[in-house]
Amino acid sequence: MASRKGLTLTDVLITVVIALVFAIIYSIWGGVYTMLQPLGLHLNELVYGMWFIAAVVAYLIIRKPGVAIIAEFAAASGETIVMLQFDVMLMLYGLLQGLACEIVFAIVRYKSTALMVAVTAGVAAALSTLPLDWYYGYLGQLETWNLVLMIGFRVLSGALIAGWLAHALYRGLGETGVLKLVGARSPHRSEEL
Amino acid sequence: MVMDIANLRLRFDGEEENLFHGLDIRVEEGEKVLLLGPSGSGKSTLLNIMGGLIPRVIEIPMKADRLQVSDDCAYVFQDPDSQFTMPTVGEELGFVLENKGVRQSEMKQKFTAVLEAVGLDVSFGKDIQELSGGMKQKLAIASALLQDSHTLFLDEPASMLDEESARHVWDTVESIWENRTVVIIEHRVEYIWDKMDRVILMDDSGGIVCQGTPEDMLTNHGKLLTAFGVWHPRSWENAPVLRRAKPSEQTLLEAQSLDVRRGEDSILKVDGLKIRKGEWVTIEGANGTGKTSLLLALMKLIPSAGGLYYRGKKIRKTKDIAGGVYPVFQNPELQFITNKVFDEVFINLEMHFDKTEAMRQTGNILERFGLSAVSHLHPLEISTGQKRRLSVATAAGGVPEIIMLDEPTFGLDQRQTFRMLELFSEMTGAGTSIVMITHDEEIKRRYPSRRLLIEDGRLAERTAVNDAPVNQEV
Amino acid sequence: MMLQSIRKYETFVDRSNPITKIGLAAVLFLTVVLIHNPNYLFHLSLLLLLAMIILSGVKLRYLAALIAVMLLLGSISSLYMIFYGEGTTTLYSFGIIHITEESFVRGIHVMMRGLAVSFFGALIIFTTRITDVFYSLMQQLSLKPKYAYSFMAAVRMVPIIISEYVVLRQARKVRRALIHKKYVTGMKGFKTTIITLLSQSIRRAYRLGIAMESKGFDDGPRTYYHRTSFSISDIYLLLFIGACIFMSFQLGQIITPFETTDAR
Repeated sequence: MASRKGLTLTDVLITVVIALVFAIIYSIWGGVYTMLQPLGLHLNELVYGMWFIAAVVAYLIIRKPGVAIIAEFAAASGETIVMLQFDVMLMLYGLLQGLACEIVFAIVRYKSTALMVAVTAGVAAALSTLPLDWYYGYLGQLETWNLVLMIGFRVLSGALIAGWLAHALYRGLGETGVLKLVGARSPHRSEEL
Repeated sequence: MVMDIANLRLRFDGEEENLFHGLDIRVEEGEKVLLLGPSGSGKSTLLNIMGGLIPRVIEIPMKADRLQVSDDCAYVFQDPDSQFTMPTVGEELGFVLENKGVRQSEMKQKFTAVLEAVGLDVSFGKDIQELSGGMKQKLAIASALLQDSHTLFLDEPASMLDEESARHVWDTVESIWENRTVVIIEHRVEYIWDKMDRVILMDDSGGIVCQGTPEDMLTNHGKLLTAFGVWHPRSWENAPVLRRAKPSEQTLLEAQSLDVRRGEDSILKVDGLKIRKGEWVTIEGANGTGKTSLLLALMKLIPSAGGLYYRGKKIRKTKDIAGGVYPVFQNPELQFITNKVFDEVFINLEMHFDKTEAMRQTGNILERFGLSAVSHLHPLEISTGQKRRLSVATAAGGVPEIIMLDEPTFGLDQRQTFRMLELFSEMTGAGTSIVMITHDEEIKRRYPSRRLLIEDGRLAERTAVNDAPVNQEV
Repeated sequence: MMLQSIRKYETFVDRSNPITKIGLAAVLFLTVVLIHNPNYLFHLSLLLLLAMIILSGVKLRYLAALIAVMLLLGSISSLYMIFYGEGTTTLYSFGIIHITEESFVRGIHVMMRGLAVSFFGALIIFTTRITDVFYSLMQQLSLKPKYAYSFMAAVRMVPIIISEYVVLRQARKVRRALIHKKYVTGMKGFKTTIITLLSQSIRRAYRLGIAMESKGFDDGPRTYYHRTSFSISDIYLLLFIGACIFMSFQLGQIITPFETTDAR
């Protein structure tokens, strides 16, 4: 049984399927985000957190190392397929966001499913997007008040959507009984039989 | 090889009770065994143990005094959508051979051989998603053959198919099973019953009630089979005797020269259709003739040309007709909205009655549908049969005048099916009209007050239903 | 695959290895990020647009629709930089909106970056079968089969998930008539929708995982039904993209739609 300690085929499969469900949502979300953009005041940043949700949900369900990165990377790749545009940058973002979440989960040693862990991961993912945006989107050239507003909104969104909403989805899924099928298991207790 | 399991004990994580407490089962080389039992009897779990999937792949705590399982087996599962890995026929079959390490140059020749063996005439590049349900199951059998194993486990391979496709699948299974040990779980067993060497009946809690040759089981244990609610070749002799629905003259729903289209093509034409109050109508027709599309079109969920009237009022949008006419789709899961069985029925009533009355009626409905015991559970957590009953129960609040059901007895065992038919009869008796799509010959023959048929893209009245008392040979 | 029905012909891009295409997409992305001269970028986007139109083999009316959507989304997303970017030469000012010549060019520049990458990205999607990507990744880059097959199997489920969503929408439309609308709208409706779809998909993935292992799948060495390798088509594609980049630098010095040579 020792060979099945790491990620099993079923773990990876479930992770990727969760990611692809979110990939569909991501691509719809892209439209929402873009439409909010010209409104100014970076209101669109308030929805940005949706893009990290796959990593957090997949982790909460499976709780094994690597799941967050795989989920976020798969969701980003899936999004490029659904959007009909293979986009290296999107996948790079996915990788970074997944990595940021993964670090948070590693710190709690893949054990905790507390709301605070989800929220922290959401915030970490939000922060991880900034360096790339800085260079690619010329963020340094934005006026300062505007930049602060943008970062604030994005972090808030990460906490709310990727943290709180992801946790709510996880709890809802728990009620459906489906989580009995997946994830890290307690050690066998076949002696009692 | 012989499979031999003695004193098997198993318990699911988080459950109080063991599923198996000391089960013994032995299957001889080359034997053909049929496993029967109500849902929750652990048939699938047992099949997964016999093939070694538990505990190798599925980690469930288990123990046995003797555990000699097959190390050389292949499975065919129920749901075509969750047993294929790859998009095309060739890639899927390739997947099996890749796992075995077969050289690429030898692959195509093996594909041709197994596709021929199961009678599936498709190109390797064919998209699996474009195959019919029956063809998909034949492909699943073909990939089982490619594994070149001597034991075959079939876990309800035909339960999602209509009767004709099911018969083809069983013929295929029979044509390849010589020299193989075969263990089958199936609901609808008429075609295979006589061909089995042994039939095993399991009870609600993972024990074996009785076993014997098919003939022995029918002659000596027929009562037990019926008592445990499983289908057997003489099931319909115990079918409920119901009063034929007596529709009133009042027309509720009327369609005039309806033309259901998808893009440029016409899927279905309906010259004229009237649904009267208190009718029980069946809609029949082969797979892919547009029965479900008709249902969707009548609800204005897909576009159609022509006139549609509910109580004389022209229907333009779904919301003009929803409520009065209530469809129950094939996948009950997708219709649930709340996170409790009770609420699922309650929210339909709370708008029409005060709270106490709504709660009382909800309790009544759940009782009638046999769902009281699970009323606190999540709708997605209950068994398939219960889900199906719940999806019908949401329509039973008395508000809808017409209930349209897409194969409501699909995948149900005998007990559940008969109960469902009794409920329909109660409803028509109370003046509700039932319109149901069904493939089941026995149901079509015994119960409806009118039969409709879709053929050559057109809906037609089938010969009038015999007025002889229901549930007797015509 | 559905995409094949909207295509008229195949080109050497179809025959080149997916890894080459992904690699080139990465190179192109880097190039685009490093270009600060909007004139270079203008020509590069134009050349890649032409490449997409000619080499994808997709019927023109579908391409036209796609290009329109890309341009629309691109221009909307550049507006924030145009409206709120820093700059000295004011063109227009209204409330918090402050358009300067610098921010305008910068906005257009960011938009062209996105477009250039998108054009090539679309070309890749149209000319690549997803299974080939994973066959190549396993064979040329020794990706573990566990990941490759999980992804391929999951992609197969996407149409099923979408059709489940359609049915779920229809069912809610019908049930809405009898229930309070608070159950199916807003946050609550969104949450129950996602939970239902996820729950169904997880169950299906779980069953599929078991089915795959019952077919003898393991993560070890294996043979392959499709052999993938590199070929002359990969060289063609390499040369082609190289030429596009080179030409855009040459043209960018001759034909200059933008006065500035640095968008920063």
